[in-house]
Amino acid sequence: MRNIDRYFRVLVLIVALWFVPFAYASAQSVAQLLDKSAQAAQSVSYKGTFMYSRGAQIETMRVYHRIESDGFQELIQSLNGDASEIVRNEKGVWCYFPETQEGFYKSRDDGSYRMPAISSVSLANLEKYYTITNKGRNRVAMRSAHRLEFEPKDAFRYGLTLWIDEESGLLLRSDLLDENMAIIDSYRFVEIAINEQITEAELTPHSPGTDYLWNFSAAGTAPSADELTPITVSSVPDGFKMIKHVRGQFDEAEKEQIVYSDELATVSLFMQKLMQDETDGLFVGDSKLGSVNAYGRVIEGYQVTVVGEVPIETVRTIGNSVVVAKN
Amino acid sequence: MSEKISALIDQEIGRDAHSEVVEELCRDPDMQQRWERYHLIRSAIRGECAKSYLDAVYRREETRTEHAENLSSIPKRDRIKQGTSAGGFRTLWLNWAGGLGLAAGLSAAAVLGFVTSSLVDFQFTSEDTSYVEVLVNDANAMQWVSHSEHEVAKSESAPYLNQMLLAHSESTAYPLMNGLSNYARLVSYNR
Repeated sequence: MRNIDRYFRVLVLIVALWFVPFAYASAQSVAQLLDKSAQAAQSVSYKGTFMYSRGAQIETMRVYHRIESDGFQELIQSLNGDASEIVRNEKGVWCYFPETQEGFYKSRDDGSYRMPAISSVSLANLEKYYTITNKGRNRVAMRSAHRLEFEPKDAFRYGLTLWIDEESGLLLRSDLLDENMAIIDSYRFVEIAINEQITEAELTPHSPGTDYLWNFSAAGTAPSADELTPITVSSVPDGFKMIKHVRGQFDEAEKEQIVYSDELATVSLFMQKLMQDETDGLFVGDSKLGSVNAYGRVIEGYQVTVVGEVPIETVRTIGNSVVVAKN
Repeated sequence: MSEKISALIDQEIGRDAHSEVVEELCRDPDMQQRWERYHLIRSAIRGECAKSYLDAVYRREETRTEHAENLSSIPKRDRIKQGTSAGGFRTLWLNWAGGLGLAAGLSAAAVLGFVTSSLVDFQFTSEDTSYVEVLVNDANAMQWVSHSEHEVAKSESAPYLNQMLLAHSESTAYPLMNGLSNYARLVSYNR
């Protein structure tokens, strides 16, 4: 009996040792894939058609992304519905909404949009809050892609599955998953051409936007001590850390923005001092747009709004923990 | 095929099946045509049918040479006035519109004919009409909605939330493809 027990233990040890190289290889390839993908986003030109879906809603869009010597130029256009378009480059973001003859412009003069990429550097931290698994190869847009799954370990973040192009490292498909691991938000390329020539005409929006009503948002700057909103945020879900704090002209008013992230999910807290007796257009309660949740409160003369691609509980938790110091 | 589309629209579909159906939708032209029909019904319900066709024809007929002015037609930052129309562009806009005038005039009859004939040819089957209610309910799905009552958020809040979403999208820590999915969300926003 003792011998059987000994043999069993040896057998278990042999089996365990057998799997060690596989586990190591899997972890290593996740890191390498994330690094490759982060690098590809900065260095690879592409144009293609992708489908963006949210539940039963599916929109087809075209994207042209050209790497240039001093940055990049990109056009995203909806192929059905309202024919909305977005132009992005290093200088700013232009959103064209022809249906309402309205445009939104956000300056990028401060370069603050260059947020740290998900890479092997962030992997150790991500693994505290997500179970990350390399699910092997799959095909997207007729290309071989590695499938990475990020399964959340608590209810304050969504799950995510990424398909990373084996050859270029570009992200060919991304699924955001709710607590039941059902897809709530997804984009996937249907066809993509990588490192082919992209003309100026392809990068030009259909609508010149010249007759639009343009809403302007300046680039934010770090607030000085006397500009700081006197607030305290007492409860932020585990893993979310402040990564950005700026003050800027958003819409028609000065606002302060604090960005929290667990290095995968992101939440923004906006604060705006209201005019005395201001009541019009205040946002109170919760709202959602696809996977994006928003929660608003008015506290001691401040409009506080929390927005992020996270479950409603996360934006509510942060929003409800905001306390404004009374003068 | 219809059952699959029905399940997709009704959201009565599991994660794996969802992926399979969407993949099939990407591959199968017949299925895409059927999907487009459902969206056509939705567009018709929303009074956007003619516009949808005009957009489609515009995209087909409008040559890219019209956009050869390329990046110069993108509003420059210093020309954008907060809360006002960019009136300085009016001349350029009129030139552009004038240039298109002839093409638009010539295509108008064809467009109207196309719309009319398409609507005449379009037969609502009992299966199609069973989706009408779903599509009407779904018409506002890409707008900000309340969690509790599934009502569209107060109209005055939507522009504010869009502005916050744009600012937030610029701050995403999910920069694979430079946050492409965030902007796809903005493009797909149903205004």
